[in-house]
Amino acid sequence: MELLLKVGSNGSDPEYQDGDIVCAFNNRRILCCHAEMICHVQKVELNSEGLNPEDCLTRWMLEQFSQFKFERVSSTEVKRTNLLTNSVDIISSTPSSNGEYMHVDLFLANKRKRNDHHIFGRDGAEIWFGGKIDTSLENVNLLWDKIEQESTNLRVNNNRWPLSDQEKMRFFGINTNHKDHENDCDDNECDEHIRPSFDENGVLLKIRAYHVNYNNLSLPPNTTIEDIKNPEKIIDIRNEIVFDMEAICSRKDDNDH
Amino acid sequence: MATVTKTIGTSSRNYSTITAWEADLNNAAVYSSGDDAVGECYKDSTFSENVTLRGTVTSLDSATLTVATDNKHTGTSGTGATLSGYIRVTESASDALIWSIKWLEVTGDSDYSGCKIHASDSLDSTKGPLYIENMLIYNADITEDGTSGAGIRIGEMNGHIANCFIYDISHTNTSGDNIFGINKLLRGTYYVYNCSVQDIKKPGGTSAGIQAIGIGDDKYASTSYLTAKNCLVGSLTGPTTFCLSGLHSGSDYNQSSDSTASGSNSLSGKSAANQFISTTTGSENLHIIESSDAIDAGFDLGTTANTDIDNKDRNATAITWDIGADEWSLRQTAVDKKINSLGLDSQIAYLLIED
Repeated sequence: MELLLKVGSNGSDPEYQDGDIVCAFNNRRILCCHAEMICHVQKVELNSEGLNPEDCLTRWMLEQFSQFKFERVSSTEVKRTNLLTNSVDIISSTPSSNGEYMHVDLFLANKRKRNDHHIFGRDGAEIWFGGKIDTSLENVNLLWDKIEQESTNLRVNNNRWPLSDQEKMRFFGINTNHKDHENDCDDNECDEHIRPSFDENGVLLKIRAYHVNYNNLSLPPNTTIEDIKNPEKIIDIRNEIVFDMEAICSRKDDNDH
Repeated sequence: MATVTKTIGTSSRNYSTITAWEADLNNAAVYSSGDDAVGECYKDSTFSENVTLRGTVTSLDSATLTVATDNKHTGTSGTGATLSGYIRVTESASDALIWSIKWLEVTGDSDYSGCKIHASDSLDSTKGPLYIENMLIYNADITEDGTSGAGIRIGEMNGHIANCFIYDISHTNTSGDNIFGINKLLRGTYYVYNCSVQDIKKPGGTSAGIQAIGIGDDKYASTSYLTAKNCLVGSLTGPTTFCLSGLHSGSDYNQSSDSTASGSNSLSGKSAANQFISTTTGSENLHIIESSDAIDAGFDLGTTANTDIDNKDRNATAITWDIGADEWSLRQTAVDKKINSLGLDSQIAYLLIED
C-alpha cells in the first residue's frame, strides 16, 4: 500500500496535521487506475460509422467491469444481458411489467453527441454497457491479463500511484508493506487508515485518525527531512524503500473516547 | 481576491485525487485571503474515493469542486468525470466556507451514513450556503442498517440543489430505513430547483421504514424548510411511495407520478412512461421526450438554476421553462426540429443526415 502524507500542519485539530495519512492506495486501486487510463475511450479510433470497434481495450474493460451489456436488435428493441447471471431480457419503447422502457433511437443519438462515447459495433447493431461497475481485484487482474496480451503495457511498469509533481512537492508519498500478511491491504484497510475521528456526538475531532511520524523514518541516503519539507523540491522515494506499515503508522484517536 | 483553479486527475494534473486537492486548500503557498478555490476534475481519470469537503478554517471566500470545460457529462452515465464513492460535506465551528459541487457523476454503492452526498454533520443553520448543481447521481444500493438512505441529504444548511438527475438509488436492507432521492433534515432554508428524480427503490423493510420518497423534508419541529420548484419525480418502488413529501408550502410547479405534487401550478398523476428517453436499469436517460407533460410547464426562475443538465442556458432565448433538469426546447437542434416538423421517424432521419 502506498501512503500520501501531509507535510506541515493546516492548523489545530480538526485540520490536517503534519504526517497525517491523506490518501492510501492499495495495489488493486493502483492497477485499476492505470488500466482505466490505458483503456480510456479517448485512445480508441472510431470506425467509419462513428462507432468504437468491437475489439478494443475499452470494450474489454467495460465488459469485464460492467453489470449489463446492451445490444440493439431492431429499430426499437434492445437485448439486455446481465453479465453476472447471463439472464437476458428485451427492452423496447413499450414499458415492461416493471415500467422499464427505452426510446433507443433517442438514447443512442444522445450518447453519440460527442466522439468520445462508449458505443461499439455498427449502426443498427450498436453495443454498449451499463449498470454497476465492479473493479474487484479479480476483475482488475483479468483485465490486466487482457491488456498484457493485447498491448505492450505491463503490470510491472504500472505499479506506482501516479502522483503529480505538485503532490510530490507538497506531500510525501511512501511505499509500505505488511509483515503480518502476505497480500496487499484490502479496501477496508485503506479506508481505516484514512478515516477521521469523531466524538460520541458525531463531532469531528481529527480529520485523520492515523499518521506517520516521517521525521523518524530511515530515509534513503540522498533524501533529507529538509528535502521533504521543501515545497519546491520534488521528492519520490517510493521505488527506493518499502517501509513496514505496522512499524511506522500510529493511531491518534485511542484516547479520544 | 483571485480565482485559483487547480486540475484534478491521474493524467498529469495538479492533484491525482480530489482528497489531495481538498487537503491543500489551506496551503498559504497556493491560496491568498479572499481567493475562490476551484478544483476541476477531468474525465480521463476515474475518481475512486470517498471525499470529505470541510468547512475548514480558511481565509478563502469559496471553494468549488467541478469538472473542466469539455469534461462535463451530457446527462447520461459515463459521459463525464465520475466519482465512484460518496461526498461528505462538513463544517467546522468557525467561519463557514461556501461550497459548490457541480457537474460530477456520483455513483457506486459506497455511502456515508446512507447517502451519496451527505451534508448534515456538524452544521448549523447559519452556515453555508452549499450549492449542488448539474450532478448525476445514480446506481447505488444503500445497505447500511439503522439509517435512512438518500441520493442527497442536507442537514442544517442553506443553499440549493439545481438541475440534477438522480436515479436508481435503492435501500436494499430489510430494516426500517426509508430511502430518498433528496432528503432535508433540521433547519436551514433550502431549495430544490429543476431536478429530475426516478427509480428510488425500497424493496421491503419493516414498519419503521418502508418508504421510497423522491424529494422529502423530515421537518424540524413540525416546520418544513425545503421548497421544491420545477422538480420532476417519476416512478418509485416500495411498499409505500411518495414523489414529494413534507415540503414547504411555497413548493409549486412540480410534477409527480402520484398525487403529491401540491401547488396550483403543479402536475400530478403523470406517468413516468410518458416522460423520459429511458428508464431501463443500466441505461437510464432522464432527458424528456417530445410528448412529456413537463415541457413548458415550469416557472421562470431567472438567473437561478438557469443552466440545464446539458449546460444550456434557459435565458439565452425566450422560452417557457420545462419542469425537470432537462430543457427540451434547448436540446433540439435545428436538425432535430426539422426532423420533428417533417414527422419522420427520428432514427431514420438521423441516419440519413449522418450519411
